[in-house]
Formats: sequence, structure tokens, C-alpha cells
Amino acid sequence: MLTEEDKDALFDAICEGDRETVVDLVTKARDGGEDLGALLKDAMIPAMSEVGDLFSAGEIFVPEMLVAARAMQGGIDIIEPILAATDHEPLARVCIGSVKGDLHDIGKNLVIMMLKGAGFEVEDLGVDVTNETFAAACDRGNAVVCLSALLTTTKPQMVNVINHLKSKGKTAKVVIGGAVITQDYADRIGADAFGEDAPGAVRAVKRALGLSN
Amino acid sequence: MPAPDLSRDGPRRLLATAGELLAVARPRIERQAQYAALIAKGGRRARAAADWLDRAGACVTALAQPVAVRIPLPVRATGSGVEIAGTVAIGDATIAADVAAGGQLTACLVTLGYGQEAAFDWLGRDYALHHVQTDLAREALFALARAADRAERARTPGGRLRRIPVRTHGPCGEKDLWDPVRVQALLAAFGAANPGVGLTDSGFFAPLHSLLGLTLIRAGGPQGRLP
Repeated sequence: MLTEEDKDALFDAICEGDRETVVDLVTKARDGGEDLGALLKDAMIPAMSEVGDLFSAGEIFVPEMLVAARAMQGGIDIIEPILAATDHEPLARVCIGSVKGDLHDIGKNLVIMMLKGAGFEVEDLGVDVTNETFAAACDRGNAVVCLSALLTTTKPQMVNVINHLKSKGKTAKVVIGGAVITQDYADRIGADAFGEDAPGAVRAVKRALGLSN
Repeated sequence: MPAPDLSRDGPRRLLATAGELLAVARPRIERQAQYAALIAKGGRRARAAADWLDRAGACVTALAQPVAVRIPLPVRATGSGVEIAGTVAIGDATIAADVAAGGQLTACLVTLGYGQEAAFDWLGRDYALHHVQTDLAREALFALARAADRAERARTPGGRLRRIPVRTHGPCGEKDLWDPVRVQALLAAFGAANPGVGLTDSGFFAPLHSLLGLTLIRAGGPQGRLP
């Protein structure tokens, strides 16, 4: 079992991008019969949340956030197969894609990494995603549809997605983000929440689902 | 960089190897604030950055088929600007003045020749690594574009080169963005010389690591600023 010191060390290792220590400690926890779901929730996810806060505050840049996410993933790779064999449910199922006509994936991919680090199960729909594909993803149990658009020319497509989902009776929440997106735009088009950056997208998804941050 | 094709008639192609481009691109990436900050922290963070850049470089090397193609463009001065190839208007009086003074307008299409999906698959669908690859590929693309501009300057020693960016997308409110329809018209001017670059209706080049620029070169005067 992990001591409180071990759990603090795990938190720090994620924040510092120390993948080797994360793997060692999670392996120790697994071998000691630790509640891995609780470890994920109480030590690891808060660490990634801290990393996200540092990024949003401008104290670290994207590459350092990636190093932390990589360290986190080292632990998740050990935990996930074990939790999958139990009744453990992810925080929620979320799908994400760049809207039709938008071929950029950088922002979308950062959000995916942060959502996974926050305990969500994420379905990556890719880029240039049609309205029908988003709707079909709702039918697969995704509670949130995350839309990414980078350009002025593709931003209007978000309205089409929202209208299409409504017309098909989909009840999934819609969270939007991207370089050209603002809270005001999200409010105007009826999105459920807006994420100003990758960590902000995680907070937005939680808001949309009524989960605490 | 390889010797350019300095033929005066028709399309001019500049080929480069990925290795040549990465020799320029990697140091530039390492100097970017976001990567420099990580590298400066030393230890495992710096090692992670180096490992990612090594692997991203291997991806670019494996997939890239870099090429820059430049074509001369027929242009005439209009009242307040110029008309290119009979179809594309640019409302810039200074460009009109340069053309009237004997300036030659060319279009340069630059591509690494591979798309994001191919890179993502090559990198084992590792999101973090793919992000670093995207940054590195972008720097490699601009390295090739700068090499193409140097080749153009070499054709007119002592000439002044002016770059006219053709940007199809940017943040909301950003000015000087080109309508994708106009860009499509410019691409059409390349004809069979186009190295396989298309444009989506929304203004994305496909493959993504591609760019199109216009250059105006005229004899005499100070050299254009290096990027």
C-alpha cells in the first residue's frame, strides 16, 4: 500500500513529468492491492488539474504540460486495464472533433490529453467531422460533444452541429473551443459551455455536466 | 541546401531533403520560448524534449517529400493595385508601383508532402509526440520557403525581394486574410507544376504542411528582410 508520502510523491512526479516515478509508484500501489480508482481520483487527477492551472496562468507552456501528461499516462496505462475489468465507470464519456472543413488537430489533441488526465473516457472523432458523425457519437453513450474550430471560415459550422443535434433529439451537452471562439459566441449559438484553452475545456465539460471542479 | 534550378522560363523547382530542413528547423524550435523553457529546466524534462524532437524528426524524415515550386505570374497594374493572371486582384498601390517599375511577380508553392493523419499513424497515435511533430514540421516548412526565397534572390543579384503572404486563415478579426476562392485561382495557375497541393473550401491547404506565397522582385534597392 502507498503511504501518504508516496501519494504526495506521486502527485509531485506527475507535476514534474517524472514518468518513471509515476510508473514505479502506481505499480507499487497495484501490487499492494491499493484502490486504484481512488488513487486516480485523489492523487493523480488533482496533479493534472494543478498542471492545467499552471498552464492557464501562463506559468508553464504546452511542452511542459505534455511532459506531465506523458507521466500521467504512464500511470493510466497500468490502471486502466484493471479498472476496465471492474465496474469502475469513467467520470463521463466525451467525444471530440474538429468541425466539418477544419483540418487542424492541435487544439483538439491537447484537450483530449487533458480530458483523459481528468478521468474522462474520450472518443476522438478526428478532423473534418460531419454533423452526422457527431450525432452518431451521441448514440454511443457520449454525454458531451466537444467541438473545435480554428478558423473564421469553420467557426460557423458549430451552429450547424448544434442545430443538427437538436433536430435529431440528441441530449448530449455541447462544449466548444478554439482560437476563434469566445464565451460570447458560445452563448449566442446555444453551446452549453466554452473552454478557453485545454485545461479550460476540462472545466467547461465539468460545468456542462454539473460536476464540481 | 541544394543548388536551385535557376531556369528562367516556366516553373522552377527546389528540392530539399528532410535532413537539410531539420538541420535548420530543430535549433529554431529549441529556441522557441515554450521549448527553451522546458529544456532550460534540465533533467528529465530536457531529456523528454530531446527524445520527442528526435522522434518527431524521424517522422518528418520518413514521410516528407519537400518541394518548392515557383512560377512567374502575368500581372498588370490596375488603377489602385494589380491583377494577377487575369483573375486575382490585389488592391495595393505599392505593389502596383513596383510592378510598374519592372518588378516581377512570382508565386511559390511549398509543401512537405504529407498530412497529419499519416504522421499520427507513424507516431503510434501518440498525441504528445504528434504535437511536437506538428511544431517541428511547421519550422521545416518555413525553412524550405526561406530557401526558395534565397534562390529567387540569387537570380537577381542586388535586387529587392518583397514577400506578399497568402494567408487563408487566422484568428477572428485578423486582417489581410485571403478568400479561399482567390487562393484557389492562384493554385490553378500552377497547372501541372502543382506538387499535389489542394485547398479545401474552408481555406486549408491539403496536405496541411503546405503554404503559398507571392514574391515581387525588382532590380536595385535594398534586399528584402530575411524571415
